[in-house]
Amino acid sequence: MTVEALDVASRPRMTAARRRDLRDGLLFTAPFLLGALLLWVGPMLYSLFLLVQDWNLITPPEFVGLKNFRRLLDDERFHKSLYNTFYYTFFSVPLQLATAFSLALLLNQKMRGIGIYRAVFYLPSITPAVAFAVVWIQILNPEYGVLNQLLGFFGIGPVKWLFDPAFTRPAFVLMSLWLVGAQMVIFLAGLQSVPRELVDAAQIDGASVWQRFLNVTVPTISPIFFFNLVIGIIGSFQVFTNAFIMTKGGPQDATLFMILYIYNNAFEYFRMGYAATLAWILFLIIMLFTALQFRFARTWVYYEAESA
Amino acid sequence: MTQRTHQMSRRNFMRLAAAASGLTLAAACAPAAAPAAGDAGPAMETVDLRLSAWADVQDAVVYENMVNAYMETNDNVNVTVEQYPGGYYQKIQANFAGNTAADILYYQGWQFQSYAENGVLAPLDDFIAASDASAMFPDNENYNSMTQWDGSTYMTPTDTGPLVIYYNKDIFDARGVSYPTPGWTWEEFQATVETLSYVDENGSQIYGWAQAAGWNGGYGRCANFMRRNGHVEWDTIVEPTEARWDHPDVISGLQFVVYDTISNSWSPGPDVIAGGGVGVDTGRVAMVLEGPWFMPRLFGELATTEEGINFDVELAPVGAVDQNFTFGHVHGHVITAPSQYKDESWDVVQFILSDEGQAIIANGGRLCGTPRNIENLWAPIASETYNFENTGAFVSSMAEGATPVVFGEGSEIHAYGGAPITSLWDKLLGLQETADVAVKTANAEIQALLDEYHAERA
Repeated sequence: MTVEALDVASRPRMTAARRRDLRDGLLFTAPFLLGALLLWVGPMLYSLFLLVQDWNLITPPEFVGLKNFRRLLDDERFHKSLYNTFYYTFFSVPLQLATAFSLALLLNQKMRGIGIYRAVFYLPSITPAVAFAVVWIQILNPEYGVLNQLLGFFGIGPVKWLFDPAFTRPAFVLMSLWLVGAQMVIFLAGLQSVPRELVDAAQIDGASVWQRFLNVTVPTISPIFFFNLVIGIIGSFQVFTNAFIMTKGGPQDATLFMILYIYNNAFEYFRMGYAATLAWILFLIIMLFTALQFRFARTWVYYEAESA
Repeated sequence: MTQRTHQMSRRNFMRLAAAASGLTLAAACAPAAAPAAGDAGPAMETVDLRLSAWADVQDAVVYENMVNAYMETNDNVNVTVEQYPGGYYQKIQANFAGNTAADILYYQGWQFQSYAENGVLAPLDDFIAASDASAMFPDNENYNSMTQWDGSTYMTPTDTGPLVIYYNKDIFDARGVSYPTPGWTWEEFQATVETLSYVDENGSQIYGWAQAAGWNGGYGRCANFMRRNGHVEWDTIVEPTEARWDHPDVISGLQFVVYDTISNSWSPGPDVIAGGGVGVDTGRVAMVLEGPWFMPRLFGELATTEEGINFDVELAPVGAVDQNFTFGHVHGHVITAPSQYKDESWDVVQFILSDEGQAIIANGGRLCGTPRNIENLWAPIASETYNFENTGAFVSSMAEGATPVVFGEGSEIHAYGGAPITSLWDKLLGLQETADVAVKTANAEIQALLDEYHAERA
């Protein structure tokens, strides 16, 4: 008897019940698995193939070697889109976290009608993208917009938010704060899970409100901060819809973000190979940032289970 | 004795549901069934054709009427109209990629060239010759540039869209300014714009000019002013190799039409336009450069104001040369190379170009494809429907008008912009740079793109 035969003979046989479970499990997950394979993994693998191809969708792809990568180096609009995306990420994500956390703190109070307040602050984040864009075009209008009316009281402006390249990126950062509802709800859930006994113990030990907040609440919900940070950065690197609807990347490419530039290359200039290259570069950037966050998370994220 | 139940167990129900979901998904991902070609009676095989129309509601009506009229006398052909709203050309491109392109596609005259180059459109020359249909294809530079590529005809002149100046007669009357007349000059235009900009008795700013209605305009809305003295911003209109934007005529044209008019409040700037409600159609602007599609907003059931606007049209002003530089857009149909029914498709296309088809286009509010049809079919209908007189401006603009720039495969620049041109307009519209400064940068960037385009093609 060979070693392999012995190995097979010694392996526990799958029971009929386990086989049924496996079959049922595969059946239940089939819609997702099929969808993921066909609509996600498949296109992703094909985009890998496109990295070295020139493809206009009409004729078959043509092998071009490293041409798409060489193009990256000389493409000033790619560099600009990269800058715009980093600018948006580095300014919008910290502001989003601060705003969402502040709102969560306010909405964590016990008061009459708090449910309504929570719903009201969450509502903007479920506004359809086009409605969101239309509302913000009006808010940011230099002549009639509410924002400039408010700034006018302080003698500021009128600011040409969406028409002056110097102000368009800040305008997009400002708009991103409108959509912090989801982060706010996650923070709120975190705040409500802070163990009462820990807060009480700190209070008995003489900790002030600020000390309790800083030394009990914040460390306890640090995993929530971490989660919102990771998701926020990934999301902000993928900013697209507002720029596509409101500015088309202008003025003077000030809102030409990476995804918009990928879209333009794929569906305006019909350079699928180059668009795939840009998409993979963006994917690697996001992966790098996510990995770095996980690497440094050990220094500031507190997990109760690990410390126990 | 226990009674046996036939009720399905929860576990079996779940299995069935999961299997059904999986099969549904698999079915959804399966390629579409090939068009049925012949479920008709024994006598004649029915041909199923697919025809794309532009995505406006108006076009849906026009082409439903069109194919119904065609099928009345051709009962062996079933034509289905398709519209691709939101990204028309992107969806056409995706259909080619998926090998599901319609048999007949609608294009603008500066968009089909790269498709022709890639061999996915069928040349029409043999069909035209065999049907003796050359009279349906006007023979002038503008039409030829927008229907032919590399010596072959690919697109039909189905309908057109020249850009003429619409003017509000009431604003002219209020300021005692005479209406524009054929051959009016650039200087007269400039003076008129300034005179017609004022604050009315209600305190509303009235603007003498707007580049476009409801948006900021762009390259396509300025070319006739840039070319007014005969200088063209390219060395050649089809596949240019040299950018000639830094000519004084181009600079002075842009400086006045875009920068000066906005900075002096003679034209609404982007901020005012974004606020909405300021245009010729609301009585706040005296003149605008627009195409025939703008008319329904001025008079009739779909007009912006209840009483409508008392308007007429005129060609854009001329400069030092006696030449009409109005952009005469040509739109039409192509037959796709993969179509199995090219002969039948050509028959449909011929019907669209016929007097009967062109009458349906005119009645649907679209401008006919040739100057002759514009004059004979469209003009009487439009004049009565929209209450204006100078239908001749549309006829002469298509008979003599100028051509937008045309490129082949791989160009970032097109008839309505491209990165450096769009950036140039952003600077002028935002009053960040005057035309002489902005054009200097733009010309170099445009030239760089031209060089890259030709290098790639070489």
